[in-house]
Amino acid sequence: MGPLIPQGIIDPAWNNVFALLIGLAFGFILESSGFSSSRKLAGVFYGYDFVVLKVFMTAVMVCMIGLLYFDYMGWMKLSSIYILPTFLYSVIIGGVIMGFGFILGGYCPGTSFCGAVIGKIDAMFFTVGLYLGILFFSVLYPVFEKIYHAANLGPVQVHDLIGIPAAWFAFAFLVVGLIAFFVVSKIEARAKKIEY
Amino acid sequence: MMMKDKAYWILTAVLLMLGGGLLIFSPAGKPDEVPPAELFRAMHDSSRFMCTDEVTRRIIEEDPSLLLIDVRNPESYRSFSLPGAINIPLTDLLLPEWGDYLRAPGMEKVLYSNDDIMAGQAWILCTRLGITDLYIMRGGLNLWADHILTPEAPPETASMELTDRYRFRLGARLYFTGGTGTGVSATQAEPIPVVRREKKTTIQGGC
Amino acid sequence: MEYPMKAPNRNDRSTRYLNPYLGGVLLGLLLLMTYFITGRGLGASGAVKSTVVATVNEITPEYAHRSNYYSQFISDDESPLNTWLVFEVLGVLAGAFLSGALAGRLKLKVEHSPGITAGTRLVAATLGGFLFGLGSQFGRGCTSGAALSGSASLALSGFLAMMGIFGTGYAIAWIFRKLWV
Repeated sequence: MGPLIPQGIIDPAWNNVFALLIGLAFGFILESSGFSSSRKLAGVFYGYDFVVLKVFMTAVMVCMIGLLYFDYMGWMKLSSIYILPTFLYSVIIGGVIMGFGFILGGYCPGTSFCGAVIGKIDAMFFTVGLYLGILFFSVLYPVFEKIYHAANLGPVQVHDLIGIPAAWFAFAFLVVGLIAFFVVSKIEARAKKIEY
Repeated sequence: MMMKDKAYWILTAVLLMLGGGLLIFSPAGKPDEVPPAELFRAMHDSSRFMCTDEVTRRIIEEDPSLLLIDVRNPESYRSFSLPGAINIPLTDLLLPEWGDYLRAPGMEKVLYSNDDIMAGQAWILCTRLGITDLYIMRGGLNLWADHILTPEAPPETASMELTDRYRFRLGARLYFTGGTGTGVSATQAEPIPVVRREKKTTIQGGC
Repeated sequence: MEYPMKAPNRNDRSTRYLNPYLGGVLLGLLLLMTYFITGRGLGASGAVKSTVVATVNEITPEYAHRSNYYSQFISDDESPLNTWLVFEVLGVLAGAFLSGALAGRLKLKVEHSPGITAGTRLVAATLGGFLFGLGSQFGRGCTSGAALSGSASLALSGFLAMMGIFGTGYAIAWIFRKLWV
């Protein structure tokens, strides 16, 4: 059955329409959860607000379980969706650089759009920075090209790599996450109350 | 010490139930004929890719050891596929009826899709089952069409190798398109409707 | 520096946010629906990349066509901005605006910790954006595309990205604490 557009069940001409609608919901949920505030977002690293962890991990859990159920019920095989291929060195380097970007900027691309559109000037500057950073990458591409394409492990999934069934991994992820929520809520409660 | 946030406890209860349900209902484990360490080593080996020029050469020479497998859905396969390719959609790869094809001795199986993502997933699935002599056509049909149907002329100062390759591709184009350079062979009425994703993973030049 | 020891003002509508678990569930369901309808996950940085490609192509089309990088993304019959992600991000802007408007959060300001000046914040934000932009290209996605959508689909890359971003963040948080606390 799924995914509906690639399988032709819904006319591909609707793809961009859905993109818009999905984006609408995405932006609304992000902003309503407070992701339009850089100080709220940075709180996950300083212990005063773990909203990032709670929303992010919950979303991953819900979607992961959902995808596995869809696969089990035959509504959509897990192998038919796009799995991001792993380029081992590139993704780790990218993650580290983005980590610096997050701490300095207090935003990530999606959230910076939310912040910018409600008037946060720092978010707007972040978005300009984004543009420049990507421009920098593209202009210096010949330098980065080799490591960008190196160690292509293909679209490998975690449970395949570890060698356990997907459901086991998902359940373990669930448990770890739920415990993490409990722990961080305690940390939040004891953090210095600051106004933001 | 009870957390006041009801939402947390409701979430925990629901998720644990759903997660537990998955554990009970899902199949007891995937066919694990290949241990993860082996799989990891195989993934690091980039010789699992076969470039479009190589595949094309084998098609033209009618190499009997070549088995082309189109892993896209049947509609895509019907609207265009490489000559001689069979269609095993990604979702059907694990079905027993294809086992003989995939394990045929002496055959080199080349998986392809529009780019190499789907083919890559197919490769991982099959390698876990212990299927060998399995390749992915690097760049998929998108790159194939790029290289063979619209080959890029090398600059005049280019090496012999590049010029030879260009000439090879021109010849291949003639072979596939029957000389018109637009559509493919008499059996296809319209030009290739190759589905492009937003990003073409083109690695210009050889593999 | 001492901060006033008071909690956010509960009567102020503009600090009322969704319960994070509810937000997470909604986001997760949205992501699931996105996969089911389109076969792909969400994203954000890709739209900025499309903008970079489009503007470079406008300003110096010859360079764009020659370059190994840009030539991959430009085609003669349609604008590089005509991508799924660009439309998605347009939606994000609209949705966030709507939410902000309903909650009374529309306000032009530089949000910064009282411990630093607005100017410092803006410099840091730009630098942070620059690094995030650069990193997102290596990572083939940002937190929405690689970490969130990737992890949800059990992709190894998604988890590596997530661990890279948050691991690094925690490792260096103390160094940059002046920016936030």
